[in-house]
Amino acid sequence: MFEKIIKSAVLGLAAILIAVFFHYAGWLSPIEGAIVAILSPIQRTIYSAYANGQNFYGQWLRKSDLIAENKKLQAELTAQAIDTAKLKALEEENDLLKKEMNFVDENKFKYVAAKIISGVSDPLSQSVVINRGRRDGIEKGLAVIADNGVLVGKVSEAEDDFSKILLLSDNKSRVAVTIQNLDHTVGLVEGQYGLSFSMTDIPQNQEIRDGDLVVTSGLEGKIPKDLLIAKVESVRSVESEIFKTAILKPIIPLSGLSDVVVIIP
Amino acid sequence: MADKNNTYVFIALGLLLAQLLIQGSIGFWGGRINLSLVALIILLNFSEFHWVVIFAVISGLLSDIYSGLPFGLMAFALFFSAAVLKILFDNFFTNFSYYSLLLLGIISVSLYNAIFIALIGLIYLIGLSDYLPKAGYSYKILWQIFSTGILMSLAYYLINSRSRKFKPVFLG
Repeated sequence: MFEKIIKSAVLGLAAILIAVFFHYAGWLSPIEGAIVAILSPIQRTIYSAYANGQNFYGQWLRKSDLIAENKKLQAELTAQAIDTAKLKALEEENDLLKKEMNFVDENKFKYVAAKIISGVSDPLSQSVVINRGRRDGIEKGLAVIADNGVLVGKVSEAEDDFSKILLLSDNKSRVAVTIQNLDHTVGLVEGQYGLSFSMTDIPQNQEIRDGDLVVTSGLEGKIPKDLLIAKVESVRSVESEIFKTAILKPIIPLSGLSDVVVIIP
Repeated sequence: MADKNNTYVFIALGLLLAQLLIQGSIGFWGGRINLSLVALIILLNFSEFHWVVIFAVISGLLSDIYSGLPFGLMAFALFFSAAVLKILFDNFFTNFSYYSLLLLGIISVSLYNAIFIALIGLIYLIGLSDYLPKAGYSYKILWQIFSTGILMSLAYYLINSRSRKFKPVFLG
């Protein structure tokens, strides 16, 4: 009995080690791609339903002051919104894709439109999985935009048929940026514990105002210049310190994304 | 016997599929429910250990496909949890009562997270990953313990309504 248990445990451990080796050798890619392809339609439906529900909640229900003032009107609107929810979602998706297409067309970028399949399974990283991979020309480090050209993250891992996108709010996320102020301050935008992001190591002599726009600097080879990222919400400065920090406000919330575009420079 | 065993394996696979579909996609509360651990404990109670190992390895590797962390980490965490849970089950939780099932569920979450954090720390030290648990991670563990407790209670009720695998009364 005990021998059987030990045997099972050893075989299990060996199976994991072999799978890890096969994964990094790239031999598991077809199997992983097939699993993602099979599950992605249902995963995407669940992900979109949750994201739409969250957006709906954020836009309509959380503004309690407006609800109180316009209770009757709001009820009618909500009823109508439920009736036309499916149509509206399709219209929004259509508009969004049109905007994204216009943006990339105007800037003459090559691009790959992708849908977010799901979030990630681990509790630490702020990433999402998209339905495009190496076969579509996606590679690690490429910029990912949404909503009329706003940068939302970078490709962190590209498999044959799917990729993982590290969102800007992730602790590990670093993007070279420029602030659109008189000094054209350059620096790095870093994720802040999955909640927001900030720009650190800004010299004290740089003049930054609330509301200044932060765009990509183009110093990273795979990320085009002038992609909008965020605007400055506040500046934290201590006179005795060499550098100051700008707290940034995202242009769009990163939690309710459903369609994105990967830019191929 | 084989049919019964197959039933529990299919239940476990169903829970695994549900886990893959919801993980990371339905926000903080829904996305962090760990159905794999619930399935693991059901298998531990009613199936041979080799089924538990097969489930832990497959479930872990499938989760790794969708993980932003180094591949294999979640499989190792689930596998080591299964091994320790087997030792605990064989030596301390053999009476098939509601309380042993519940306690095993709570221990499994604590154990899984402890192993997960230890592995994260290890690969951080080696330099393979930049991730370390954040201050709010304890809330995720508490939520997992709570949700697993509810799911284990539900599993106890459902399994007992179909069979007498568990002791039929809460106290006794």
